[in-house]
Amino acid sequence: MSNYEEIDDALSLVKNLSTFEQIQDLLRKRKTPGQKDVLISAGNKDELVDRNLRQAIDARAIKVDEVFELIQSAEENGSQHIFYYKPKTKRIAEAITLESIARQLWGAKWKETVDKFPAIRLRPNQYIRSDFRKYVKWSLRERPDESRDWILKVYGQTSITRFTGQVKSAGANGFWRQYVEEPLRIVLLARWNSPDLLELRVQRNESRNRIEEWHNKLWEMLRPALIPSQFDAWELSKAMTKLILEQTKNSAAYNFRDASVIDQTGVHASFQTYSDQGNLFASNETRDSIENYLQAKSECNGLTVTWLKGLGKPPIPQKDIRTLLGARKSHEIIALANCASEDLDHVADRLRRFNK
Amino acid sequence: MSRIDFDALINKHPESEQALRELETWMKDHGDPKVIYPKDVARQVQDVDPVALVKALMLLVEEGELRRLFKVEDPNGVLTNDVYDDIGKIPEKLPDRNENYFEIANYDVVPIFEKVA
Repeated sequence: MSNYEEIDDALSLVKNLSTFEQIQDLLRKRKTPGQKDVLISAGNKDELVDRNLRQAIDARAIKVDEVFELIQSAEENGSQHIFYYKPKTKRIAEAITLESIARQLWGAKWKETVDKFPAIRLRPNQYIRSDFRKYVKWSLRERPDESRDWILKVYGQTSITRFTGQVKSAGANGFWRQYVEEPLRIVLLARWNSPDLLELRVQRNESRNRIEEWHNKLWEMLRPALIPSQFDAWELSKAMTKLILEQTKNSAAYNFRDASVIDQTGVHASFQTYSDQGNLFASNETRDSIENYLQAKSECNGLTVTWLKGLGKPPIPQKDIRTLLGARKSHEIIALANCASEDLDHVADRLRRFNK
Repeated sequence: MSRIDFDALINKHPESEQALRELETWMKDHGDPKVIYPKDVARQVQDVDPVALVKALMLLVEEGELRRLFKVEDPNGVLTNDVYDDIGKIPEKLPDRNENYFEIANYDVVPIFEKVA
């Protein structure tokens, strides 16, 4: 990444993807006594990025790598559909190393390609592999060499046609509806979560067709290193049932907002709190009803779980994180908002524990 | 988080005393929540006319104690995830709780009230 020169593009992405507070946090980390090149206050985001952040980079108070980390953090974690897969055999799982994947994707000289990452610039109507790197989980931060995790990022760009909501009358029996063409930036991510979990992450979008198309595109970008027939979808129905039945003893770790169940005769029942912040099990009647369904061998096919902010230092999750489990497919979740990478790891680890 | 001085508010707006008192009691009973959903309050405080209740909440907005935000009720009658500070910023389509997008034109936009820190 050291040869990367496109700082204007990077700053533009920071402006679009990161919040005002995230940018200020980065500046604060580098604000030392007497450091006059790092300014924290700004009237608006444009000023914060174009003046404060640029000035800090120019003065080398902030490294370009840190700007990339800000972008990565904003676009890679959360506000995504995550599809979970497990390798069919232990042998396949053990063969999934960073080097073996890189060799199959880029050949013997893979290091030359990977050293040029991350790429930021998009190519219209094309998908490109933009980053491939080792990932170190929080639990291995003291022993990073032991990490076998990696991330492959894919960027795409396409044009979409969007109805603006403007309708104008055109004569007695006609009307005009206004549509605009807009570019859409696409960020797709494959995350190997060792020892045995492949996560395919695609950004949220109003079109389910696009979600499916991007999911398939990600598999395509993983070829020939990984192919779908090497994996099984990691179904979460067991985890959802256990999460419900064991909520009382884990009430400091998570609660629920929505749940849907199907009984053995095929009857579907949905439970939803009115407010989006609600806790379904704050109602004893609802708790009893859902537990009764599950004890009668009904299946839970959708559960919105709020994983509560951790109590440790640093807290993991860093804040409450809400996920819709079993979103459309039984191995799919939706992380509804942006979050830290550790927070999504926490969710995957919990699901591993509950899906046994 | 500072408690709201309802006594001072009632002195200024005696015509809303009943609604403000009920609201004060409701907030105490519910652990001084950060976000107030008028429909939840109206369901639980049945002695007060819902219009008077919203008027009381708007007084708290005028006094700088609460901020009014907007959400949309989805086709299932529950609130969507997204929240807006300006009604004009609500997009034409929103995802419901199950990530199915719906056109908001046929559904209600409702105010919610957030405590100002």
